Amino acid sequence: MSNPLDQALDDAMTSVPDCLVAGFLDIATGVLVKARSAASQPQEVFDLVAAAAAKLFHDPDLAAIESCISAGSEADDDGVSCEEIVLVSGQLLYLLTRSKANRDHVAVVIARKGDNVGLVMAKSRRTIEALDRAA
Amino acid sequence: MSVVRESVTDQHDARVTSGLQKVAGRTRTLFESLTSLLAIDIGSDLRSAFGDGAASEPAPRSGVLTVSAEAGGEGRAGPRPLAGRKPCIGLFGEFSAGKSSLANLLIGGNLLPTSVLSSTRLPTRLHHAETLTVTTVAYDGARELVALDQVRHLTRDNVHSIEIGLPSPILQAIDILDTPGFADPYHDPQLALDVAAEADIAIWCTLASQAWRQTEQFTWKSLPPALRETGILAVTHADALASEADRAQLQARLRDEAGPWFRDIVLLAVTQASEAVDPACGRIDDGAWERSGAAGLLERLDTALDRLSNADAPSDAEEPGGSAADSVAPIADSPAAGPDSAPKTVDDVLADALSGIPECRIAACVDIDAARSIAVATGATAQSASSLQTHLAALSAAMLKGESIDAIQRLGTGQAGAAPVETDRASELTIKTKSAVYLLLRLPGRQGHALSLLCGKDVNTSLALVKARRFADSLDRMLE
Repeated sequence: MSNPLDQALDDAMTSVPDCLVAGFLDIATGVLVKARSAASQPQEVFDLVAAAAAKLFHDPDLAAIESCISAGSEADDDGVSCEEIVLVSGQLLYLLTRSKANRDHVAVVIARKGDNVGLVMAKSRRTIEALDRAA
Repeated sequence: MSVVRESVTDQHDARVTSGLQKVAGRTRTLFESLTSLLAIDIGSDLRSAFGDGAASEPAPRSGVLTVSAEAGGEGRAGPRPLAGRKPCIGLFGEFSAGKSSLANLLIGGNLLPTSVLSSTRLPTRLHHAETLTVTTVAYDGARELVALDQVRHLTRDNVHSIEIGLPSPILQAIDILDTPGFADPYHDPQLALDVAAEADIAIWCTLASQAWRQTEQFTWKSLPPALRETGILAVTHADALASEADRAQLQARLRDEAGPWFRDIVLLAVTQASEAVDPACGRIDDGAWERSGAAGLLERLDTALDRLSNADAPSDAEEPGGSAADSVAPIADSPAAGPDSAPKTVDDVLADALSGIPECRIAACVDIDAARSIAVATGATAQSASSLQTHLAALSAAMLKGESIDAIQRLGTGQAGAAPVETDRASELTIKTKSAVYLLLRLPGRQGHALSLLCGKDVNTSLALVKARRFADSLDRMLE
């Protein structure tokens, strides 16, 4: 019997239209926690992504702007105020959302954006909430 | 005298006239079509289909019958210009603002039961068909012809919109798009926004008793600027106004508050308009028809269709139609007009973005390779603006071009060893933080540049993105 996170990842792959990747990253350490992929992916790609996501969420320019407009009061203890990054690239949609339960974790969903980005986004966000609960 | 007015004068002839006119020589005057339809009884079948199910329905009777790629009618989803397709009249407004009643008026009878149709809360496109058909459109674009008794059971889980084919003469000239109401707590406004771009001419319905509320203003200003330029504000249930003084007072207020955002404003009483028509013979009581506002609305639609057919695009240079009492200034005069208002410089586009996108604090055109802003509009104080724009430019470069984004993209494209190919470059990036939302859009024609926006955390991201894309297009043209 699979654990809740495995189950949530499997659900993400089936519930998000044209989902290619669903996973959980740790941005504090820059490592992959767990992921599912529609196609075989080398481990080094996942490692790179985890490190890259950590870098994005800790971007110094983002931190500088946030510090300027909110006097630093809104950032977490680790200085990260970023909650969500949505990237549209070619035909793909990348959604990285910070876990509410574990602030070091970021859920990632990659899907083909298709004709209705709104639907993909809505399903992805719902999925990420489920991942969050399962993690 | 307009073609419509001529039709009013010759209503009896118009009712039997089937000549085509106007748009690309294929469309008839709205009024002619309407009066023709009045003699045709096709309403009962559809009414029963949407009713309690007790009445008999025409075939098909049950279940999903077949998949039909062609069932959706003509002119699907084509962007401007018209280029040979039928124009689409979009009906927008808040929940229960009279959109479906207006749709019924336009197609010539009580064919679309308003309460049932609105309860589906799905965008509904009416198009011409020889027989009554109902087609669902799924999120993936698949179309299915469905039995009429199944319509009430459709849900938003699997259906994006509905298409109804009717043997209505007016639908030979135009399609009509009836949208779910905004400001409905049980309805996702995205559904209506998704289909907004399908409309060539927008009619915003607002209740006379509480016309042009703040929420309506916000939503209307978030629709594509090209739609606003052709927009008609239909003030429904105008018969609820107690006196001529009340009407005049409301008209004056709307001229001030809504005038800059619409080409025309029309007070409309759909019930009066319906009662002006003798159902037995289709004869129209001219005076009642005029007083209902229906004649004025159709005249303005006719003018708008003329404008479309003549220019294949809205033109700011044309005078708005309508009487002096109802006419409004063209959108181009609006201080917060969209990018289609032809700003003269990059600075103008950015200034428009700053004022036109709600909650926008900084709008910058960024040279991604150099990681610097080439132009900035900001509402921040000079002291913080300099620092903010420097960091915003650096953030834009890092996010749209940096190796971190490349690494993440490799996960999607499966390219372990190589950077993303040109077509897979990051084109749009949205970053939400606890205190702000950042929208970074690579310019479509100049991939080395981006429109970068810093907005307040309460911004409606979907709406802001819709507007931002248009400003990015404008910037693209400016930099050519």
